Amino acid sequence: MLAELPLVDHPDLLVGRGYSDDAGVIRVTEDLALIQTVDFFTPIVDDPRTFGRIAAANSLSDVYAMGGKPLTAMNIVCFPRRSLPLTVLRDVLLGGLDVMRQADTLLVGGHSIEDPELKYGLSLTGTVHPDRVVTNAGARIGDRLILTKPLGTGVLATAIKGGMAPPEVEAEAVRWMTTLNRDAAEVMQEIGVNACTDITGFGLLGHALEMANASGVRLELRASRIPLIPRVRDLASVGMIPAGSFANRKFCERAVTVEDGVDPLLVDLLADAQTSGGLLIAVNQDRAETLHEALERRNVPHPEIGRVVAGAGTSRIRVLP
Amino acid sequence: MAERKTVDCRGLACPQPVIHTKDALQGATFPIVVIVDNEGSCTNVSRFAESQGARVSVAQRDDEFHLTIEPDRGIPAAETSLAAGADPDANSMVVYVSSEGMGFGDEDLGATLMAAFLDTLSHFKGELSHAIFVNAAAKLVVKGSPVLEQVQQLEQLGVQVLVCGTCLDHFGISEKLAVGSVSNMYAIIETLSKAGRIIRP
Repeated sequence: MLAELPLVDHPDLLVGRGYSDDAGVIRVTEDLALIQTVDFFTPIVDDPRTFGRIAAANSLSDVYAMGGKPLTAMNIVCFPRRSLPLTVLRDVLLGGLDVMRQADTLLVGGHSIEDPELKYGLSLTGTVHPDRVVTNAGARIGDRLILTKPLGTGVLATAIKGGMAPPEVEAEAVRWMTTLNRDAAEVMQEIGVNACTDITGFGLLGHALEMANASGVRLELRASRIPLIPRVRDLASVGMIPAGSFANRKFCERAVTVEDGVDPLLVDLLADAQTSGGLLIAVNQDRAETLHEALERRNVPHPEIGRVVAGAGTSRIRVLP
Repeated sequence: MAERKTVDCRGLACPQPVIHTKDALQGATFPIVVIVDNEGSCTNVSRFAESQGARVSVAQRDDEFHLTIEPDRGIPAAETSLAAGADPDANSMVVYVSSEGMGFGDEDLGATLMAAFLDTLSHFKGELSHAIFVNAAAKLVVKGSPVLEQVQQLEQLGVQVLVCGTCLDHFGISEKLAVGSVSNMYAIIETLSKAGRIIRP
């Protein structure tokens, strides 16, 4: 739908809406560019403080995905004053603050409105050197693809809603959703990578497709190498895949070729809509080993899930067993 | 006429159709019909019912899916193999690895022997169709494993490497899988049952 709006162009606009990237980036001076992004959503867990933490980590992720450093934040709140006590709002905001503190990001204000349903998130400003912006458009043939968090939060959120997720599974999902992509972003800048995007609502397939389109390349994904949060596969096989993930799969269908031998359940999981997912990084194959080592040192998962290959036409993603 | 219960899940978002189906199937001995209004719910309800050993047939009418679910009568209904191409022929050899080391007695020796075993296996590449890793052997196919190279070599030679997903989860090393594909008990049993010969280190 956004495609119908006219695009804005400016010589200092380094990343704008035309790129389906994670955030907008504008050059302010020769050595400073600002990253701007906003994200907010409805609760996916019952505990207000945990929800606040997840929403903040998810919003921050867009800055990290551009290789940036978050600077300031504003709260965005929709709150049903009539149906929920204000202590809930306080706890959500405290959760957000916990994570902002962890990210060395300053809360400078915010805006709230009354709404039938609770929603929370952040509007963020971050910084990056104009020459070191990591977009989703730089993937080159031969690059290795690395994913820094396991998939499955969409399935787990659905299972939590349905009362099918044991507490330890919920705790594991929360752990991943509140893990900042900060270390991964810093390592990316340290080593130098070609492209990056964070995995959120469109799932790995959707965001990989955006990267393939923006970079004018084709991505090959090895389904068996793609990490899943424990129990996700079991929960998916008893029908805990959310509607959004099916919609993602449908949306990507024409551009994705699935080879024989790939479990259809796994393809659904590759399309699983993620909340606060990891970074998908395309790195030059000569630097891949250095990146692996640096991520390992910071305890960031770094499975190599595929590579960038040549190819034109409608099929932009190839999923191998 | 056979007794039949209908569960109308139109207009409900996931996971509700599955939860309603679950409740309806509880203790059911006769078929139930579940109506959903989108393909995703249809897939989810089918997967759930099949996971419970039920048989599912789907009739699509316009935008509605009518699923007839026959509850389990004691026969597991897993119908499709989840393994990547698990179809060994009668002459094939499958290697079944269920421990980190080879043999018992001395752990260090066991590890050395396992490396030698996997290394030597490559000489049998023509016969070897699958290598299955279960229990502690799952640790052999993750990043940092001392025998990773050997297993990768087997995979490059065309051997299908199947790794028990439950085992990877159990040890918390699912993210570190470095070779092979994640598999499940059904696929593992299917592979073993079709094998010409099964060998173990």
